[in-house]
Amino acid sequence: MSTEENKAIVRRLYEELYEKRNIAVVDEVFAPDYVRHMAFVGWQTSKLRGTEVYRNDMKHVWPTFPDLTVTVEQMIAEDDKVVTIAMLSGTQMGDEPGGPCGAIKATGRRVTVPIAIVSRLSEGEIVEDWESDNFGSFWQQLGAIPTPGQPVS
Amino acid sequence: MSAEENKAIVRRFQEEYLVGRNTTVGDELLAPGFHLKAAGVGWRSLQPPGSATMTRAMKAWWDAFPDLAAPIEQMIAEGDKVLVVSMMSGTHQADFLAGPAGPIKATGRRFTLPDMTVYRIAEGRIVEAWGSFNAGSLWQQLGAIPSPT
Repeated sequence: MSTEENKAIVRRLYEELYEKRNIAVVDEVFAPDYVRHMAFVGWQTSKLRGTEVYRNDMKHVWPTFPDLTVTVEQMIAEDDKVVTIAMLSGTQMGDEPGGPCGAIKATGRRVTVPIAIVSRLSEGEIVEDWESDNFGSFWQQLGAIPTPGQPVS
Repeated sequence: MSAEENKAIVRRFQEEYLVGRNTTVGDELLAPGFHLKAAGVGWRSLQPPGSATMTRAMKAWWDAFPDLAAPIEQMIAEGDKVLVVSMMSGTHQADFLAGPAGPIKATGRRFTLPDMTVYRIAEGRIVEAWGSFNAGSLWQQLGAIPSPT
């Protein structure tokens, strides 16, 4: 696959997931042994594998942020990798256990945070992601941790 | 400049300036109008543009973490852009100014945190950067905030 083909696959994932709410796209895009590494203490690797990673995410993300939008701002591709820089934006209307906000009760607050993801592809499928998002700002925007000059709710 | 030349510029910037603290290299590789955007509420733009603002931001890290390291794990380049994935680590030996709501007093704790930064290069100098690291995890590792989730 060319870098342009790889970019199209990754772009399609975000369009289908976030514009069309089409979870079935994960069956086409992710390899069975797909894993995701999130930036926390070093890389925290998903316990789930394959299509279950995003299936499990979206089960919680969509009810928590019903108006969620993810807008791709930049894509950079070389060899088997595609970098996606996107802007995530949504209003926190839910607070399911296991969801993206954990114990934070529904606040009705709007959050806008950039996300940065490196995807590695093989034969037209995403096999591995590395993702670095600023959860500090996310929690601050929800009022869950202190922000300079603003009270904590 | 080729993507390989751009990667070499960014590698030198990372190793000699961000980690090596050689501000002469920072002044050389950052264009006068260099603009840093940090992941916050959307992209938080550091003002004014230029290398002095970057060095001021880096000083908060250099002072707090005398052993700051950030080996490069991945570089991905296309056109005029280079993404760097690096693994930052350091020991918190002096106050860290960039806490959630003010400085975090020295704790002696060690942190390990990935960083992803996209650099845009024009005519051999870095003109723009977008940095995304998980400040929430850093603050947790330094004990400044509980785990809210």
